Amino acid sequence: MNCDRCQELLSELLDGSISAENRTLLNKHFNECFGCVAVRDDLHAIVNVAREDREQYVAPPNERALWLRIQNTLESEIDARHGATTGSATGRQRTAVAHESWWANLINRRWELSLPQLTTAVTMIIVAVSLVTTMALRNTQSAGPDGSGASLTNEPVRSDVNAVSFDHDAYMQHQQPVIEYWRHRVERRKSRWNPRVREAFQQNMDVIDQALKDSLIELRHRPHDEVSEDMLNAALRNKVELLQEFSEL
Amino acid sequence: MHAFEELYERHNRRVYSLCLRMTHNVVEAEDLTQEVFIQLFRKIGSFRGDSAFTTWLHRLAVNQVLMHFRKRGVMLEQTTEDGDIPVQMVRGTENPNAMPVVDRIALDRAVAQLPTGYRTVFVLHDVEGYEHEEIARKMHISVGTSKSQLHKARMKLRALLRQQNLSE
Repeated sequence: MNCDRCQELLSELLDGSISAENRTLLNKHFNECFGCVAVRDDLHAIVNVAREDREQYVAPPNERALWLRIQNTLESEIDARHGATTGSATGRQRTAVAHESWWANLINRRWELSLPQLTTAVTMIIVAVSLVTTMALRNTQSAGPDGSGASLTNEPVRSDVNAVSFDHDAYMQHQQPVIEYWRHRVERRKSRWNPRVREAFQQNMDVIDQALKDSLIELRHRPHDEVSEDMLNAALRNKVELLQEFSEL
Repeated sequence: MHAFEELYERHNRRVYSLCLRMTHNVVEAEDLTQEVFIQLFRKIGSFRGDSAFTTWLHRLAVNQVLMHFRKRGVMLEQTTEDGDIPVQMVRGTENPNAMPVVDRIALDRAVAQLPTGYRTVFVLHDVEGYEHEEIARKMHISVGTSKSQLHKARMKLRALLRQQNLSE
């Protein structure tokens, strides 16, 4: 065995994956070549120090500041999500607070109603509740099959390597109603944008669409690639976030 | 949010250290740590307890760094058909005593000088303890290429440590 061959086998020796036959040949070579013994010892030292490094952790330069950055991002994300779904409810709440005294006066008043008046009032309440319920049901159906209408399905693409082949196109189709919902809202707003906003939106959308396309192509070649699945999820999330953001402009 | 803050306090150093080892760039490592915890917040519901939480978080962090490399266009170094990189082998015959005693700081400095592809395989295998099969799967390379890259990385590190020794 020459030195080149010997050094090629050193990593296998260090990792314990060398065959018995090659181990014998190496040992024989080590008896004759101090140079290769030195290389073996050096690599052994490098690997040992690297393994010791495994449990050594360093702190970020400013742990607290990093946490605040993370917290801010998460809170604004949560706010955006809540804002999209409960925006109108909050508005109603504010109005209610503003008119508290008016309500208080109204409720504290003594009411005296005749039977026909009472019957008419009850009937009107029933009709109003039915109308509101019907409208709410219609809105829910048109918003999307999952009924959320405002947020991307939080369930990410599965990353189970042992799972049966996962249909990424079907997953995309599943997400489509949510994207369409927000796209529709953006389209309604678009006419009010100035050209720069329109251009910025289009540029961002192009980048995200490209990322989606790339991830899908990658996943067709490697259906279980976790990194591509993460990239697909991230791109989908970015797309919905972008649409949500611009639907407010 | 308070519970999540506790998670951050318990695990941020582990995540940051991994990101720093793989990127060798403080700013990138910080940004990636932030991204890992944001992803963790979004995905924590999908943690099913099949593995230890730290293992799951570790995989999440590794995926995030590899995704970052892929977005940045950092690929493995140019390889030949069988996955080898034409690197000059360091023969041990010149001056076997020139290699310094390896310490963490010297090794850290040498690892920082490795090309990204070498460094990624070295960190994942020798520091983080991943098997070649998993590295190959994550990096879209063959097991043979992973082994070859690791060996080249170790030899390159030895050469860099020797250089450090000579220049000091």
